[in-house]
Amino acid sequence: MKKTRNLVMTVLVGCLSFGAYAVEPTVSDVVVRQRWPWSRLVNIDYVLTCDSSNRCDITITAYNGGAQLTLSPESLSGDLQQVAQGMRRIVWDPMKSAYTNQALTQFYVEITPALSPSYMIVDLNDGSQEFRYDWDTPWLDITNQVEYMTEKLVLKHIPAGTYWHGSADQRA
Amino acid sequence: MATKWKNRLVMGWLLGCAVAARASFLPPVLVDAHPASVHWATVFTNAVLLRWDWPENAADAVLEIDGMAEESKSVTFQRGESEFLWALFDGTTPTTEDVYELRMTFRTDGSEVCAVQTARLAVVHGAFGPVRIDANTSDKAWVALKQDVVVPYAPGDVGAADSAADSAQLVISKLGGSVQTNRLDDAVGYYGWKLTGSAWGYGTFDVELSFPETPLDMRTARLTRWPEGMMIVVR
Repeated sequence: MKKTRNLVMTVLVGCLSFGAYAVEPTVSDVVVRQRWPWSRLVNIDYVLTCDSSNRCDITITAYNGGAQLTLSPESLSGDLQQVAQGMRRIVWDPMKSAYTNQALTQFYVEITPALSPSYMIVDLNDGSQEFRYDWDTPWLDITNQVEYMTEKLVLKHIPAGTYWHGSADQRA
Repeated sequence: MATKWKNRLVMGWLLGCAVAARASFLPPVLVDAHPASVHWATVFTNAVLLRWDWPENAADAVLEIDGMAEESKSVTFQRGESEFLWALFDGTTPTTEDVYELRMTFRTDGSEVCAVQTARLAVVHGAFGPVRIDANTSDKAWVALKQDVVVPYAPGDVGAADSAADSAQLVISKLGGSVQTNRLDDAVGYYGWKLTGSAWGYGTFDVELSFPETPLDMRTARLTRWPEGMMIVVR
């Protein structure tokens, strides 16, 4: 009995240690290319490596030589928020930036991924926060747990953007 | 008692570390099955390891590599050889962009072709370091052709992911000259347009990119190649 308990503890602690080594999100194989001669849009292709259940928010920093550039959020589209692992693309439109009438001869980007939380849990007793990062499976048992009805506030992460409130016109 | 538990916790932690270390020694493998991905067509290192499987009845194989800048390369392999390290350029960054057509022809004992595999790989500056981005389309660089060029093709304005296109067509027309229609087996990639030492010569070219499956998705450009050197007008 004692041996079994020891073994269970050992495996449990081992599993916890293993969990701490989850795949850190990384970005590789970045390719920047303007769509010459078709348009001024710039493709920024990259490969995101992370756990399959995770999603990442991408921060992009652009430079021309040593000078950092300011890319407005409106000028960027594509795989920027809640991005899953794999080959991804961001498109930069220089016409929506301050660099409309000039050539940037040494343009390059740095892409930084950060794990995107699927839920934020606020402890209403002390205001502390916890996060969940699994996007693959919905959190189904949340309403069965008393603590989430009384002491903890659960907030679902919704990507930044514009949304319609209410039902569609036809159904109103 | 406390020491005993401490030892057990340490053992467990070590076990976990061992599992994690074992896992971390296995590098993740990228599996790219997306038809709209340009990743397959892009070179990221100065040497590419090519691997292949032999068809059952093949005795030897010939690998032909055609690029724009160099003469075509041909290497013969006997059955049993299953990889080839292809050195593309010296140093860590390429001096010019290029697109390579690769063709692997498998032959039987009787020298009959029994299988053919092809690939197209592009060397683009933006995979290795900083690139020129020019937002001003009135800039001469937008219409000027000087040397061999790599032309990207992909459907859609933002990305190719939602497009129904699975092939592309690039038509090059020289004003007052010949017309070349290039049918491309994929919808996304790079086309190598060889200008130097070719029959295209100098002049004005209309280039049209279209996608047979999505005929409304089309774009055009007019480009000019000026004679090189100094021009002297004699009266």
